[in-house]
Amino acid sequence: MTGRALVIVDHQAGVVGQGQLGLVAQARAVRETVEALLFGAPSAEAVELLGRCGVSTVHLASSEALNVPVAQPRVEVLIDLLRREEFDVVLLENSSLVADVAAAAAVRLDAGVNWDLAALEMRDGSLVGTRMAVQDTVVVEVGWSGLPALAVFRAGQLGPVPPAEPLVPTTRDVDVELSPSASAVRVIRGADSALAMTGLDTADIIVSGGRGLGGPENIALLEDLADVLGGVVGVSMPVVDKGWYPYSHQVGQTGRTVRPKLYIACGISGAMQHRVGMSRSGTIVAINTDPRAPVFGFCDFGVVGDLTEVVPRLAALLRADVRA
Amino acid sequence: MRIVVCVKPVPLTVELDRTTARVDRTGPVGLAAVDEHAIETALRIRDSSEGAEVILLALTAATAFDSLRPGLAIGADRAVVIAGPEFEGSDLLGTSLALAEAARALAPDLLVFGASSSDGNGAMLWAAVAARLDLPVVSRAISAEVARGRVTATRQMEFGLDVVEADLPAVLAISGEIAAPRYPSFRDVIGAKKKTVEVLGLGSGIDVPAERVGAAGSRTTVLGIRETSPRGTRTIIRDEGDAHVQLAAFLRERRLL
Repeated sequence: MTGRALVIVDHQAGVVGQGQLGLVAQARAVRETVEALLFGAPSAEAVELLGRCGVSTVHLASSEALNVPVAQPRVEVLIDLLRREEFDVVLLENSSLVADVAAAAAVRLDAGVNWDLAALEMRDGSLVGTRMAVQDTVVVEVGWSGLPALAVFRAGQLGPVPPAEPLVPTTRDVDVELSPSASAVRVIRGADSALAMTGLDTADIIVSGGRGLGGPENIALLEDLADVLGGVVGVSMPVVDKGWYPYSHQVGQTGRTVRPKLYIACGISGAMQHRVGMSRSGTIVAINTDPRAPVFGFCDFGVVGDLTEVVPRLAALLRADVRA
Repeated sequence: MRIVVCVKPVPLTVELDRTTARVDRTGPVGLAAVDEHAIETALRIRDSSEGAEVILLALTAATAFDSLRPGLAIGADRAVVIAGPEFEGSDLLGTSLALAEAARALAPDLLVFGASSSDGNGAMLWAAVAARLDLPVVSRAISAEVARGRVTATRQMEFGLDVVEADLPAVLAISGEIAAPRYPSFRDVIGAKKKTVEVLGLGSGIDVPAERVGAAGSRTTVLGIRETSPRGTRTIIRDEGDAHVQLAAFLRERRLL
Protein backbone atom coordinates (compact mmCIF):
# COMPACT_ATOMS: atom_id res chain seq x y z
CA MET A 1 0.00 0.00 0.00
CA THR A 2 1.37 3.38 -0.97
CA GLY A 3 0.15 6.91 -1.32
CA ARG A 4 -0.80 9.74 1.00
CA ALA A 5 -4.18 10.53 2.50
CA LEU A 6 -5.20 13.85 3.99
CA VAL A 7 -7.74 14.09 6.80
CA ILE A 8 -9.46 17.43 7.40
CA VAL A 9 -9.83 18.34 11.08
CA ASP A 10 -11.47 21.25 12.84
CA HIS A 11 -10.79 21.18 16.57
CA GLN A 12 -12.66 22.88 19.42
CA ALA A 13 -10.18 23.94 22.12
CA GLY A 14 -7.91 20.95 21.45
CA VAL A 15 -10.75 18.44 21.31
CA VAL A 16 -11.07 16.56 18.05
CA GLY A 17 -14.43 14.86 17.50
CA GLN A 18 -14.62 11.08 17.48
CA GLY A 19 -15.86 11.13 13.89
CA GLN A 20 -12.84 13.09 12.71
CA LEU A 21 -10.49 10.71 14.49
CA GLY A 22 -12.45 7.91 12.85
CA LEU A 23 -11.44 9.39 9.50
CA VAL A 24 -7.83 8.61 10.38
CA ALA A 25 -8.63 4.91 10.80
CA GLN A 26 -10.46 4.91 7.46
CA ALA A 27 -7.47 6.63 5.83
CA ARG A 28 -5.02 4.12 7.35
CA ALA A 29 -6.98 1.29 5.74
CA VAL A 30 -6.38 2.67 2.26
CA ARG A 31 -3.11 4.62 2.31
CA GLU A 32 0.34 4.11 3.78
CA THR A 33 0.80 7.68 4.98
CA VAL A 34 -1.90 9.67 6.73
CA GLU A 35 -1.52 13.39 7.29
CA ALA A 36 -3.96 15.92 8.71
CA LEU A 37 -4.89 19.50 7.93
CA LEU A 38 -5.83 21.11 11.22
CA PHE A 39 -7.86 24.32 11.07
CA GLY A 40 -7.83 26.82 13.92
CA ALA A 41 -5.37 27.84 16.60
CA PRO A 42 -2.44 25.39 16.81
CA SER A 43 -3.18 22.87 19.55
CA ALA A 44 -0.59 20.51 21.05
CA GLU A 45 -3.41 18.32 22.44
CA ALA A 46 -5.01 17.95 19.03
CA VAL A 47 -1.68 17.10 17.40
CA GLU A 48 -0.90 14.49 20.06
CA LEU A 49 -4.38 12.97 19.70
CA LEU A 50 -3.96 12.70 15.92
CA GLY A 51 -0.52 11.14 16.37
CA ARG A 52 -1.92 8.49 18.68
CA CYS A 53 -4.32 7.50 15.87
CA GLY A 54 -1.50 7.19 13.36
CA VAL A 55 -1.16 10.61 11.74
CA SER A 56 2.45 11.29 10.73
CA THR A 57 2.30 14.97 9.78
CA VAL A 58 -0.09 17.70 10.87
CA HIS A 59 -0.40 20.77 8.67
CA LEU A 60 -1.42 23.68 10.89
CA ALA A 61 -3.56 26.35 9.28
CA SER A 62 -4.18 29.29 11.59
CA SER A 63 -5.65 32.60 10.71
CA GLU A 64 -8.28 34.94 12.06
CA ALA A 65 -10.39 34.05 9.02
CA LEU A 66 -10.37 30.36 9.99
CA ASN A 67 -11.76 31.03 13.45
CA VAL A 68 -15.23 31.69 12.06
CA PRO A 69 -17.47 29.01 10.55
CA VAL A 70 -17.26 30.11 6.92
CA ALA A 71 -16.33 27.76 4.08
CA GLN A 72 -14.38 29.92 1.65
CA PRO A 73 -11.16 30.48 3.64
CA ARG A 74 -11.00 26.72 4.32
CA VAL A 75 -11.47 25.98 0.63
CA GLU A 76 -8.57 28.26 -0.29
CA VAL A 77 -6.21 26.72 2.27
CA LEU A 78 -7.16 23.19 1.24
CA ILE A 79 -6.78 23.88 -2.49
CA ASP A 80 -3.44 25.53 -1.93
CA LEU A 81 -2.13 22.56 0.05
CA LEU A 82 -3.42 20.05 -2.51
CA ARG A 83 -1.73 21.96 -5.34
CA ARG A 84 1.62 22.06 -3.55
CA GLU A 85 1.66 18.52 -2.22
CA GLU A 86 0.40 15.32 -3.67
CA PHE A 87 -2.42 13.65 -1.79
CA ASP A 88 -4.55 11.12 -3.59
CA VAL A 89 -7.37 10.78 -1.03
CA VAL A 90 -8.95 13.52 1.07
CA LEU A 91 -11.28 12.47 3.90
CA LEU A 92 -13.83 14.71 5.60
CA GLU A 93 -16.66 14.23 8.09
CA ASN A 94 -19.85 15.87 6.90
CA SER A 95 -21.27 19.02 8.48
CA SER A 96 -22.97 22.12 7.12
CA LEU A 97 -19.57 23.71 6.73
CA VAL A 98 -17.74 20.67 5.37
CA ALA A 99 -20.36 20.06 2.66
CA ASP A 100 -19.71 23.56 1.32
CA VAL A 101 -15.93 23.09 1.55
CA ALA A 102 -15.92 19.72 -0.21
CA ALA A 103 -18.22 20.89 -3.01
CA ALA A 104 -16.13 23.95 -3.77
CA ALA A 105 -12.90 21.94 -3.60
CA ALA A 106 -14.30 19.33 -6.01
CA VAL A 107 -15.14 22.01 -8.55
CA ARG A 108 -11.83 23.82 -8.22
CA LEU A 109 -9.81 20.59 -8.56
CA ASP A 110 -12.17 18.88 -11.05
CA ALA A 111 -12.14 16.04 -8.55
CA GLY A 112 -14.79 13.45 -7.78
CA VAL A 113 -16.63 13.66 -4.49
CA ASN A 114 -18.66 10.83 -2.96
CA TRP A 115 -20.59 11.65 0.16
CA ASP A 116 -22.68 10.04 2.86
CA LEU A 117 -19.99 7.35 3.09
CA ALA A 118 -19.85 4.70 5.79
CA ALA A 119 -16.48 3.13 4.92
CA LEU A 120 -13.54 3.08 2.52
CA GLU A 121 -11.52 0.11 1.34
CA MET A 122 -9.07 -0.93 -1.36
CA ARG A 123 -10.25 -3.52 -3.87
CA ASP A 124 -8.06 -4.67 -6.77
CA GLY A 125 -5.93 -1.59 -6.35
CA SER A 126 -8.89 0.81 -6.48
CA LEU A 127 -10.54 2.88 -3.83
CA VAL A 128 -14.10 1.75 -3.04
CA GLY A 129 -16.52 3.63 -0.79
CA THR A 130 -19.77 2.32 0.64
CA ARG A 131 -22.82 4.37 1.29
CA MET A 132 -26.30 3.45 2.48
CA ALA A 133 -29.27 4.47 0.37
CA VAL A 134 -33.05 4.20 0.16
CA GLN A 135 -33.87 4.18 3.87
CA ASP A 136 -30.62 2.36 4.50
CA THR A 137 -32.08 -0.76 2.88
CA VAL A 138 -29.35 -1.00 0.26
CA VAL A 139 -25.60 -0.51 0.25
CA VAL A 140 -24.21 1.32 -2.76
CA GLU A 141 -20.55 0.87 -3.65
CA VAL A 142 -18.95 3.87 -5.27
CA GLY A 143 -15.62 4.65 -6.88
CA TRP A 144 -13.65 7.59 -8.16
CA SER A 145 -11.94 8.37 -11.44
CA GLY A 146 -9.09 10.85 -11.33
CA LEU A 147 -7.27 12.25 -8.34
CA PRO A 148 -7.59 13.34 -5.66
CA ALA A 149 -10.60 11.35 -4.46
CA LEU A 150 -12.73 13.38 -2.08
CA ALA A 151 -14.52 11.20 0.49
CA VAL A 152 -17.16 12.78 2.73
CA PHE A 153 -18.39 10.53 5.54
CA ARG A 154 -21.83 10.74 7.07
CA ALA A 155 -21.69 12.69 10.33
CA GLY A 156 -21.64 10.50 13.42
CA GLN A 157 -21.03 7.40 11.35
CA LEU A 158 -17.51 6.64 12.48
CA GLY A 159 -16.99 5.11 15.89
CA PRO A 160 -14.00 4.78 18.19
CA VAL A 161 -10.63 4.39 16.50
CA PRO A 162 -8.90 1.01 16.72
CA PRO A 163 -5.41 1.29 18.23
CA ALA A 164 -2.61 2.30 15.88
CA GLU A 165 1.15 2.46 16.14
CA PRO A 166 1.36 5.80 17.96
CA LEU A 167 3.37 8.45 16.15
CA VAL A 168 4.78 11.78 17.17
CA PRO A 169 3.59 13.88 14.26
CA THR A 170 5.76 16.40 12.51
CA THR A 171 3.99 19.75 12.47
CA ARG A 172 4.18 22.14 9.58
CA ASP A 173 2.76 25.62 9.46
CA VAL A 174 0.70 26.35 6.38
CA ASP A 175 1.13 29.77 4.86
CA VAL A 176 -2.37 31.16 4.78
CA GLU A 177 -2.74 33.68 2.00
CA LEU A 178 -6.35 34.42 1.34
CA SER A 179 -8.02 36.13 -1.60
CA PRO A 180 -10.58 38.91 -1.11
CA SER A 181 -13.40 36.38 -1.77
CA ALA A 182 -12.37 34.54 1.39
CA SER A 183 -13.90 37.34 3.43
CA ALA A 184 -17.02 37.76 1.27
CA VAL A 185 -19.23 36.06 3.87
CA ARG A 186 -19.09 37.84 7.23
CA VAL A 187 -20.40 36.48 10.52
CA ILE A 188 -22.20 39.37 12.15
CA ARG A 189 -23.54 37.41 15.13
CA GLY A 190 -21.90 34.21 16.31
CA ALA A 191 -23.86 31.21 17.56
CA ASP A 192 -24.54 30.58 21.21
CA SER A 193 -21.95 27.85 21.66
CA ALA A 194 -23.85 26.28 24.58
CA LEU A 195 -26.23 24.79 22.03
CA ALA A 196 -23.47 22.69 20.53
CA MET A 197 -23.15 20.31 23.42
CA THR A 198 -26.19 18.12 22.90
CA GLY A 199 -24.32 14.89 23.65
CA LEU A 200 -26.27 13.09 20.89
CA ASP A 201 -23.14 11.58 19.35
CA THR A 202 -22.04 9.77 22.48
CA ALA A 203 -25.38 9.12 24.20
CA ASP A 204 -26.29 5.52 25.14
CA ILE A 205 -29.98 6.38 25.24
CA ILE A 206 -31.86 8.84 23.03
CA VAL A 207 -35.52 9.74 23.48
CA SER A 208 -36.66 11.26 20.23
CA GLY A 209 -39.80 13.06 19.14
CA GLY A 210 -41.41 13.87 15.81
CA ARG A 211 -44.39 15.53 14.25
CA GLY A 212 -46.67 13.38 16.44
CA LEU A 213 -45.71 15.51 19.44
CA GLY A 214 -48.40 17.88 18.23
CA GLY A 215 -46.70 20.95 19.63
CA PRO A 216 -43.59 22.22 21.39
CA GLU A 217 -45.25 21.90 24.80
CA ASN A 218 -44.96 18.10 24.65
CA ILE A 219 -41.16 18.12 24.30
CA ALA A 220 -41.09 18.35 28.09
CA LEU A 221 -42.48 14.78 28.20
CA LEU A 222 -39.44 13.56 26.24
CA GLU A 223 -37.05 15.58 28.38
CA ASP A 224 -38.57 14.02 31.48
CA LEU A 225 -38.24 10.44 30.15
CA ALA A 226 -34.68 11.18 28.99
CA ASP A 227 -33.94 12.49 32.46
CA VAL A 228 -35.15 9.27 34.14
CA LEU A 229 -33.23 7.08 31.70
CA GLY A 230 -30.07 9.19 31.74
CA GLY A 231 -30.43 9.89 28.03
CA VAL A 232 -30.67 12.91 25.78
CA VAL A 233 -33.43 14.29 23.57
CA GLY A 234 -33.37 14.02 19.80
CA VAL A 235 -35.93 15.23 17.29
CA SER A 236 -36.88 14.61 13.68
CA MET A 237 -36.70 17.19 10.92
CA PRO A 238 -40.34 18.46 11.03
CA VAL A 239 -39.88 19.39 14.69
CA VAL A 240 -36.91 21.58 13.81
CA ASP A 241 -38.61 22.98 10.71
CA LYS A 242 -41.57 24.05 12.84
CA GLY A 243 -39.22 25.76 15.27
CA TRP A 244 -40.14 23.54 18.25
CA TYR A 245 -36.56 22.51 19.08
CA PRO A 246 -33.00 23.48 17.99
CA TYR A 247 -31.38 21.96 14.91
CA SER A 248 -28.42 20.75 16.96
CA HIS A 249 -30.74 17.99 18.28
CA GLN A 250 -31.91 16.85 14.85
CA VAL A 251 -31.41 13.19 13.97
CA GLY A 252 -31.58 12.15 10.34
CA GLN A 253 -30.21 12.69 6.91
CA THR A 254 -29.88 16.44 7.30
CA GLY A 255 -28.98 16.20 10.99
CA ARG A 256 -26.88 13.81 13.04
CA THR A 257 -26.40 10.10 12.56
CA VAL A 258 -26.59 8.42 15.95
CA ARG A 259 -26.16 4.90 17.23
CA PRO A 260 -27.12 4.69 20.88
CA LYS A 261 -27.82 1.41 22.66
CA LEU A 262 -31.47 2.44 22.96
CA TYR A 263 -33.46 4.76 20.67
CA ILE A 264 -37.04 5.57 21.63
CA ALA A 265 -38.91 7.14 18.71
CA CYS A 266 -42.05 8.94 19.87
CA GLY A 267 -44.52 10.27 17.31
CA ILE A 268 -41.99 9.68 14.55
CA SER A 269 -43.36 8.05 11.41
CA GLY A 270 -39.96 6.70 10.42
CA ALA A 271 -39.57 8.37 7.05
CA MET A 272 -36.35 7.72 5.15
CA GLN A 273 -34.95 11.14 6.17
CA HIS A 274 -35.07 10.13 9.82
CA ARG A 275 -34.40 6.43 9.48
CA VAL A 276 -30.96 6.85 7.96
CA GLY A 277 -29.88 8.77 11.04
CA MET A 278 -30.85 6.17 13.64
CA SER A 279 -31.25 2.75 12.05
CA ARG A 280 -27.93 1.56 13.45
CA SER A 281 -29.11 2.00 17.03
CA GLY A 282 -28.84 -1.11 19.22
CA THR A 283 -32.52 -1.36 20.17
CA ILE A 284 -35.27 0.74 18.61
CA VAL A 285 -38.57 1.37 20.40
CA ALA A 286 -41.42 3.13 18.59
CA ILE A 287 -44.50 4.79 20.03
CA ASN A 288 -46.99 6.03 17.45
CA THR A 289 -50.76 6.30 17.10
CA ASP A 290 -50.68 5.21 13.46
CA PRO A 291 -50.30 1.42 13.19
CA ARG A 292 -49.25 1.84 9.56
CA ALA A 293 -46.31 4.15 10.37
CA PRO A 294 -43.16 2.87 8.64
CA VAL A 295 -41.28 2.92 11.94
CA PHE A 296 -43.18 -0.22 13.00
CA GLY A 297 -41.48 -2.00 10.13
CA PHE A 298 -37.98 -1.60 11.54
CA CYS A 299 -38.32 -1.21 15.31
CA ASP A 300 -37.65 -3.93 17.88
CA PHE A 301 -40.58 -3.04 20.12
CA GLY A 302 -43.53 -0.97 18.99
CA VAL A 303 -46.42 0.55 20.90
CA VAL A 304 -49.47 1.63 18.93
CA GLY A 305 -50.62 4.36 21.25
CA ASP A 306 -50.58 8.02 22.18
CA LEU A 307 -47.13 9.21 23.22
CA THR A 308 -48.64 11.86 25.50
CA GLU A 309 -50.08 9.01 27.58
CA VAL A 310 -47.47 6.27 27.23
CA VAL A 311 -44.35 8.42 27.73
CA PRO A 312 -45.36 10.04 31.05
CA ARG A 313 -46.65 6.69 32.38
CA LEU A 314 -43.34 5.03 31.51
CA ALA A 315 -41.36 7.87 33.09
CA ALA A 316 -43.45 7.65 36.27
CA LEU A 317 -43.09 3.85 36.44
CA LEU A 318 -39.30 3.96 35.99
CA ARG A 319 -38.97 6.75 38.52
CA ALA A 320 -40.96 4.72 41.05
CA ASP A 321 -38.72 1.70 40.34
CA VAL A 322 -35.62 3.79 41.02
CA ARG A 323 -37.03 4.90 44.35
CA ALA A 324 -38.09 1.38 45.33
CA MET B 1 -33.01 42.95 -9.09
CA ARG B 2 -33.01 39.51 -10.63
CA ILE B 3 -33.48 36.41 -8.51
CA VAL B 4 -32.90 32.97 -9.99
CA VAL B 5 -34.23 29.96 -8.07
CA CYS B 6 -32.61 26.61 -8.86
CA VAL B 7 -35.24 23.92 -8.52
CA LYS B 8 -35.21 20.23 -9.20
CA PRO B 9 -38.32 18.29 -10.14
CA VAL B 10 -38.15 15.11 -8.08
CA PRO B 11 -39.87 11.75 -8.55
CA LEU B 12 -43.04 11.62 -6.47
CA THR B 13 -41.88 8.25 -5.17
CA VAL B 14 -38.20 7.58 -4.75
CA GLU B 15 -37.18 4.32 -6.40
CA LEU B 16 -33.63 3.28 -7.03
CA ASP B 17 -32.76 1.71 -10.36
CA ARG B 18 -31.33 -1.60 -9.17
CA THR B 19 -28.71 -1.78 -11.89
CA THR B 20 -27.34 1.75 -11.91
CA ALA B 21 -28.12 2.65 -8.27
CA ARG B 22 -29.33 5.98 -9.56
CA VAL B 23 -32.74 7.41 -8.71
CA ASP B 24 -35.32 6.26 -11.25
CA ARG B 25 -36.60 9.42 -12.92
CA THR B 26 -38.96 7.87 -15.42
CA GLY B 27 -42.07 8.15 -13.21
CA PRO B 28 -44.17 11.22 -12.40
CA VAL B 29 -42.26 14.18 -10.97
CA GLY B 30 -43.18 17.29 -9.04
CA LEU B 31 -41.58 20.21 -7.26
CA ALA B 32 -40.10 19.24 -3.90
CA ALA B 33 -41.61 21.02 -0.90
CA VAL B 34 -38.24 22.53 -0.10
CA ASP B 35 -38.10 24.02 -3.59
CA GLU B 36 -41.56 25.56 -3.15
CA HIS B 37 -40.26 27.19 0.01
CA ALA B 38 -37.22 28.47 -1.90
CA ILE B 39 -39.50 29.97 -4.56
CA GLU B 40 -41.69 31.59 -1.91
CA THR B 41 -38.58 33.05 -0.24
CA ALA B 42 -37.54 34.53 -3.58
CA LEU B 43 -41.04 35.91 -4.23
CA ARG B 44 -41.05 37.68 -0.86
CA ILE B 45 -37.69 39.27 -1.60
CA ARG B 46 -38.92 40.27 -5.08
CA ASP B 47 -42.15 41.75 -3.72
CA SER B 48 -40.20 44.00 -1.36
CA SER B 49 -38.14 45.60 -4.10
CA GLU B 50 -39.12 47.61 -7.16
CA GLY B 51 -38.85 46.05 -10.62
CA ALA B 52 -37.46 42.72 -9.44
CA GLU B 53 -38.10 39.40 -11.15
CA VAL B 54 -37.93 35.73 -10.21
CA ILE B 55 -36.75 33.13 -12.72
CA LEU B 56 -36.91 29.39 -12.12
CA LEU B 57 -33.93 27.36 -13.35
CA ALA B 58 -33.94 23.57 -13.59
CA LEU B 59 -31.80 20.84 -15.06
CA THR B 60 -34.33 18.18 -15.84
CA ALA B 61 -35.79 15.69 -18.25
CA ALA B 62 -37.85 17.17 -21.08
CA THR B 63 -40.93 15.41 -19.70
CA ALA B 64 -40.74 17.31 -16.42
CA PHE B 65 -41.42 20.82 -17.73
CA ASP B 66 -44.97 20.86 -16.41
CA SER B 67 -43.73 20.25 -12.89
CA LEU B 68 -42.43 23.84 -12.90
CA ARG B 69 -45.93 25.26 -13.57
CA PRO B 70 -46.91 25.36 -9.87
CA GLY B 71 -43.88 27.59 -9.29
CA LEU B 72 -44.99 29.89 -12.08
CA ALA B 73 -48.57 29.81 -10.78
CA ILE B 74 -47.56 31.15 -7.36
CA GLY B 75 -45.69 34.00 -9.00
CA ALA B 76 -42.34 33.22 -10.60
CA ASP B 77 -42.06 35.31 -13.76
CA ARG B 78 -40.58 32.75 -16.12
CA ALA B 79 -38.56 29.56 -16.25
CA VAL B 80 -35.39 28.33 -17.91
CA VAL B 81 -34.93 24.61 -18.32
CA ILE B 82 -31.76 22.76 -19.27
CA ALA B 83 -32.57 19.47 -20.98
CA GLY B 84 -30.92 16.87 -23.12
CA PRO B 85 -29.65 13.30 -22.97
CA GLU B 86 -26.06 14.58 -22.78
CA PHE B 87 -26.67 15.64 -19.18
CA GLU B 88 -27.93 12.26 -17.98
CA GLY B 89 -25.61 10.61 -15.50
CA SER B 90 -23.95 13.89 -14.49
CA ASP B 91 -22.46 13.90 -11.03
CA LEU B 92 -21.88 17.03 -8.94
CA LEU B 93 -19.32 18.33 -11.44
CA GLY B 94 -21.49 18.12 -14.57
CA THR B 95 -24.68 19.25 -12.84
CA SER B 96 -23.03 22.28 -11.28
CA LEU B 97 -21.33 23.16 -14.58
CA ALA B 98 -24.59 23.17 -16.55
CA LEU B 99 -26.45 25.16 -13.89
CA ALA B 100 -23.58 27.64 -13.53
CA GLU B 101 -23.47 28.23 -17.29
CA ALA B 102 -27.19 28.97 -17.42
CA ALA B 103 -26.99 31.13 -14.31
CA ARG B 104 -24.02 33.08 -15.66
CA ALA B 105 -26.05 34.07 -18.73
CA LEU B 106 -28.94 35.21 -16.51
CA ALA B 107 -26.57 37.28 -14.33
CA PRO B 108 -28.69 37.07 -11.17
CA ASP B 109 -28.18 39.27 -8.13
CA LEU B 110 -29.31 36.37 -5.99
CA LEU B 111 -29.22 32.66 -6.78
CA VAL B 112 -31.50 30.69 -4.43
CA PHE B 113 -31.49 26.95 -3.68
CA GLY B 114 -33.89 24.87 -1.61
CA ALA B 115 -32.63 22.47 1.03
CA SER B 116 -31.14 19.20 -0.14
CA SER B 117 -33.64 17.32 -2.25
CA SER B 118 -35.31 14.21 -0.98
CA ASP B 119 -34.20 12.05 -3.92
CA GLY B 120 -30.47 12.35 -3.55
CA ASN B 121 -27.91 14.33 -1.67
CA GLY B 122 -28.05 17.73 -3.27
CA ALA B 123 -26.63 19.36 -0.16
CA MET B 124 -23.44 20.17 -2.03
CA LEU B 125 -24.88 21.60 -5.22
CA TRP B 126 -25.20 25.23 -4.18
CA ALA B 127 -21.60 25.46 -3.04
CA ALA B 128 -20.41 23.82 -6.27
CA VAL B 129 -22.38 26.28 -8.42
CA ALA B 130 -21.17 29.19 -6.27
CA ALA B 131 -17.56 28.05 -6.72
CA ARG B 132 -17.99 27.95 -10.50
CA LEU B 133 -19.41 31.48 -10.50
CA ASP B 134 -16.95 32.67 -7.84
CA LEU B 135 -19.86 33.94 -5.74
CA PRO B 136 -20.10 33.96 -1.95
CA VAL B 137 -22.41 31.26 -0.58
CA VAL B 138 -24.71 31.59 2.41
CA SER B 139 -26.16 28.17 3.22
CA ARG B 140 -28.52 26.61 5.78
CA ALA B 141 -30.53 29.84 6.01
CA ILE B 142 -33.75 29.71 8.02
CA SER B 143 -34.51 33.36 7.31
CA ALA B 144 -33.07 35.80 4.85
CA GLU B 145 -33.52 39.38 3.78
CA VAL B 146 -32.04 41.50 1.06
CA ALA B 147 -31.38 45.19 1.57
CA ARG B 148 -28.80 47.75 0.53
CA GLY B 149 -27.12 45.39 -1.90
CA ARG B 150 -26.50 42.58 0.52
CA VAL B 151 -28.15 39.42 1.79
CA THR B 152 -28.37 38.83 5.53
CA ALA B 153 -29.35 35.40 6.79
CA THR B 154 -29.79 33.44 9.99
CA ARG B 155 -28.07 30.09 9.54
CA GLN B 156 -29.05 26.86 11.23
CA MET B 157 -25.73 25.17 11.97
CA GLU B 158 -24.91 22.12 14.08
CA PHE B 159 -23.58 24.42 16.80
CA GLY B 160 -26.61 26.71 16.86
CA LEU B 161 -27.93 29.74 15.02
CA ASP B 162 -25.71 32.50 13.72
CA VAL B 163 -26.19 35.47 11.44
CA VAL B 164 -24.07 36.11 8.36
CA GLU B 165 -24.11 38.57 5.51
CA ALA B 166 -22.65 38.81 2.01
CA ASP B 167 -22.69 41.42 -0.71
CA LEU B 168 -24.72 40.68 -3.84
CA PRO B 169 -24.41 38.90 -6.16
CA ALA B 170 -24.51 35.87 -3.91
CA VAL B 171 -25.82 32.32 -3.58
CA LEU B 172 -28.40 31.65 -0.87
CA ALA B 173 -29.33 28.10 0.18
CA ILE B 174 -32.31 27.84 2.47
CA SER B 175 -32.78 25.13 5.08
CA GLY B 176 -36.03 23.30 5.65
CA GLU B 177 -39.49 24.65 5.16
CA ILE B 178 -39.08 28.31 6.03
CA ALA B 179 -41.66 30.07 3.85
CA ALA B 180 -44.95 28.28 3.18
CA PRO B 181 -45.82 28.85 -0.46
CA ARG B 182 -48.87 30.99 -1.20
CA TYR B 183 -51.91 29.37 -2.81
CA PRO B 184 -52.40 30.25 -6.47
CA SER B 185 -55.82 31.42 -7.60
CA PHE B 186 -57.53 29.75 -10.54
CA ARG B 187 -56.51 32.73 -12.65
CA ASP B 188 -52.87 32.29 -11.54
CA VAL B 189 -52.93 28.66 -12.61
CA ILE B 190 -54.31 29.57 -16.04
CA GLY B 191 -51.87 32.49 -16.30
CA ALA B 192 -48.93 30.20 -15.54
CA LYS B 193 -49.60 28.32 -18.77
CA LYS B 194 -48.83 31.49 -20.70
CA LYS B 195 -45.52 32.22 -18.96
CA THR B 196 -42.34 31.55 -20.90
CA VAL B 197 -40.37 28.35 -20.36
CA GLU B 198 -37.12 28.72 -22.26
CA VAL B 199 -35.29 25.49 -23.09
CA LEU B 200 -31.51 25.35 -23.20
CA GLY B 201 -29.41 22.44 -24.35
CA LEU B 202 -25.83 21.49 -24.96
CA GLY B 203 -24.60 23.89 -27.64
CA SER B 204 -27.74 26.00 -27.38
CA GLY B 205 -27.24 28.18 -24.33
CA ILE B 206 -25.05 25.71 -22.46
CA ASP B 207 -21.79 26.02 -24.30
CA VAL B 208 -19.49 23.60 -22.56
CA PRO B 209 -17.57 20.64 -24.00
CA ALA B 210 -19.74 17.50 -24.11
CA GLU B 211 -17.08 15.51 -22.24
CA ARG B 212 -17.51 17.70 -19.18
CA VAL B 213 -21.15 16.75 -18.52
CA GLY B 214 -23.05 13.47 -18.25
CA ALA B 215 -21.26 10.24 -17.48
CA ALA B 216 -18.21 11.45 -19.43
CA GLY B 217 -17.74 14.43 -17.12
CA SER B 218 -18.27 12.46 -13.93
CA ARG B 219 -15.40 11.77 -11.58
CA THR B 220 -17.44 9.31 -9.55
CA THR B 221 -18.80 5.89 -10.46
CA VAL B 222 -21.35 3.50 -9.02
CA LEU B 223 -19.79 0.06 -8.80
CA GLY B 224 -22.62 -1.97 -7.37
CA ILE B 225 -25.53 -2.22 -5.08
CA ARG B 226 -26.65 -4.83 -2.55
CA GLU B 227 -29.42 -5.31 -0.02
CA THR B 228 -28.75 -4.92 3.68
CA SER B 229 -30.07 -7.47 6.17
CA PRO B 230 -33.27 -6.47 7.94
CA ARG B 231 -33.46 -6.33 11.73
CA GLY B 232 -34.58 -9.39 13.70
CA THR B 233 -37.94 -10.17 15.29
CA ARG B 234 -40.31 -7.41 16.34
CA THR B 235 -42.93 -7.08 19.01
CA ILE B 236 -45.79 -4.69 18.31
CA ILE B 237 -48.43 -4.08 20.98
CA ARG B 238 -51.47 -1.84 21.16
CA ASP B 239 -51.69 0.39 24.23
CA GLU B 240 -54.57 -0.80 26.42
CA GLY B 241 -53.40 1.28 29.36
CA ASP B 242 -50.49 -0.97 30.31
CA ALA B 243 -48.09 -0.49 27.36
CA HIS B 244 -45.63 1.26 29.67
CA VAL B 245 -45.46 -1.84 31.89
CA GLN B 246 -44.77 -4.15 28.94
CA LEU B 247 -42.26 -1.71 27.52
CA ALA B 248 -40.41 -1.46 30.85
CA ALA B 249 -40.29 -5.28 31.00
CA PHE B 250 -38.87 -5.41 27.48
CA LEU B 251 -36.19 -2.84 28.33
CA ARG B 252 -35.30 -4.73 31.47
CA GLU B 253 -35.05 -8.02 29.55
CA ARG B 254 -32.62 -6.35 27.14
CA ARG B 255 -30.67 -4.95 30.09
CA LEU B 256 -31.25 -1.40 28.96
CA LEU B 257 -32.44 -0.15 32.34
